[in-house]
Amino acid sequence: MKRKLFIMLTLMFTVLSTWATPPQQPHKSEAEKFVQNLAKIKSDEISYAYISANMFKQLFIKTDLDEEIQESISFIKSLKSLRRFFTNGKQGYDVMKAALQPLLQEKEEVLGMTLMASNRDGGGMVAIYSGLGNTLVVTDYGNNTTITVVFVAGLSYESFLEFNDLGINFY
Amino acid sequence: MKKILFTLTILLLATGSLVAQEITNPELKKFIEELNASENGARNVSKDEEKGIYVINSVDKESYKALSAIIEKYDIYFAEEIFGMELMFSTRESGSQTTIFQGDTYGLAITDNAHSLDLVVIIVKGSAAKLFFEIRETGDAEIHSHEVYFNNRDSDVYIGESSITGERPAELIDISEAESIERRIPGDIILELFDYYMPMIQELKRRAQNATSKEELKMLKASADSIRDVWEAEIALIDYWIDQRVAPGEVKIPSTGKVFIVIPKNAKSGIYEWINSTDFCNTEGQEYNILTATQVAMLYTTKKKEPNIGWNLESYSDSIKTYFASEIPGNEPTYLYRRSITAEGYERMKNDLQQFFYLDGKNKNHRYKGFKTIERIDTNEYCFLHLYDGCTTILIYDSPTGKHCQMDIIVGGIETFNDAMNEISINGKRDIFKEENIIICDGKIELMEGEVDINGVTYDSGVHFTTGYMKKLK
Repeated sequence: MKRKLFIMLTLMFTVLSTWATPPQQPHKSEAEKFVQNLAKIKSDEISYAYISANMFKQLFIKTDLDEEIQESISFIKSLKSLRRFFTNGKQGYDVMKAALQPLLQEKEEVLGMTLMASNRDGGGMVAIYSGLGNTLVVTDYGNNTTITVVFVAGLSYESFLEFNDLGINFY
Repeated sequence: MKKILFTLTILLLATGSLVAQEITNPELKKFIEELNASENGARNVSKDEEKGIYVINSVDKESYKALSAIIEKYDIYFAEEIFGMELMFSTRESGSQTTIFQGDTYGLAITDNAHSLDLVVIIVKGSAAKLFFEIRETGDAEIHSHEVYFNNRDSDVYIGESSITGERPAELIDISEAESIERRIPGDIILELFDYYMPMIQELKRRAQNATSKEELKMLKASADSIRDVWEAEIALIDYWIDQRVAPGEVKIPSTGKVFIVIPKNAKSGIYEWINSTDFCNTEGQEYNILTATQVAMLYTTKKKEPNIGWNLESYSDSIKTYFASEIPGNEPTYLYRRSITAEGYERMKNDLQQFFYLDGKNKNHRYKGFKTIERIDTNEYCFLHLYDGCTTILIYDSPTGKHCQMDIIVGGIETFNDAMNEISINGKRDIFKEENIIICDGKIELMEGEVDINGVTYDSGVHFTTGYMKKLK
């Protein structure tokens, strides 16, 4: 009897525990979490912008862009958000550079993304990472002042290239 | 930013299109109650329950802190969804953050300027972002500043020709690069190029809107791309030229043929920085020019063709002609002049130069921008200053009664013009200017023979540099 009661109580507790569990946050990739944390760095020398997919589409579709671009954008259903960071001073640059170390090393695999392209020129570098449907572009201008990071959640590398073809570039 | 949100609020109040309902979302209601309950400091609160608008903003440090604490408690600045509303956009720049959430029923906009302790929260029944767009489409200038997210070179996402307004040259080059280039290239050159190329692109864009086939559209797009490439290449070329310069000089814009004066990026003398500053370059009501050795040579050639010049220019030796015809690196007798041509120009110039007049000529350690007074002449009609910083000579002539001011700068390691003669060596031969009896006057070369009287001082030979006023004395 005691054993039955124990099993029943255990089952009830398990069920109640499940009910009591708060709703899970939508799953975020390692890269998304990394960029989300990046947004917590506050500095007068770091500009930050977040644009939701809705906003992004509204902006484009409601303007006088040619149909080809509008259609292409509307087809990218997976687009979730766009984040951009931009440093404009030594202090902001140093802070951002330290935070971006995993990405600036141009490893072939990092934060669940694959290095798709990189280029070094005149002390600067550009690296494009993509994985799990997200794309990230990091640009170090090599002037000890400017680093930009653009992270587009929900944009595959193929779509990213498609945007490029349309003349919409992310720096 | 506050102004933008204020405009937004006013427009919202004016629309009257919102459904008259009180806030029903329990979480949002609680949030508003907390904002209201905060009693620290002074706050401004305005409500229009009929239209469903609620605005609260901080007025002092205490209220800023209190409201900030509530915002932080809800982690609003880092949330992508709150009170059933989706984060539409958020920007942070120079200590100021703006965040807008949009839901099916409500909209929330917050702007927070930590530097000015200014925090504004706006809650609307309806869609804040949607209204934001409606306002934006009216072309409200204030709202345009919101578009920095997308197409202003000052920040953020760079979107090529497909920028929203298509009015700015943001598609030319990456924003950050543009900023760094602009620091070297005078803004006038950027504008000149913009005025030259942008109409071409706009025309192609206009034609693209009326294109009747995909092929035509592609062709027009390719043409626009090609123009942008040329534009970009020209900027890169000009940037390179400026980068290569070691002294102030002219740059001719290949596309337009217009000539601009540029100052080298890494000028050795601090005076260059000043010359290159916005204040100095604001020469409205003034005449401003720089002559390099090459230009001097050109003037020389020009004068040679003038029949009534009165000088036997043929008597110039080959060596001086060679000198004038080529710039000698590090030894360019670059000459810059700036003179007022209107009363307003005079006032501005006097204002820019006033610190030089305060220099104590008797104290050789008293300097301004590195310059000390070598000579000062004060009369009832004018004041003349001869200044030197160990590298550059400045002559300033000020006539308050005549409302005329002139400044001449000669660059190079010379203190006096007699020194210049001794410093400049051509083919190992010194005193060549002395032999040639040359005066540079108002940017022109004139030969003189025998003695010349400049400001009461008699020079028997040499390179004499005179201001416009001194020319009258001659």
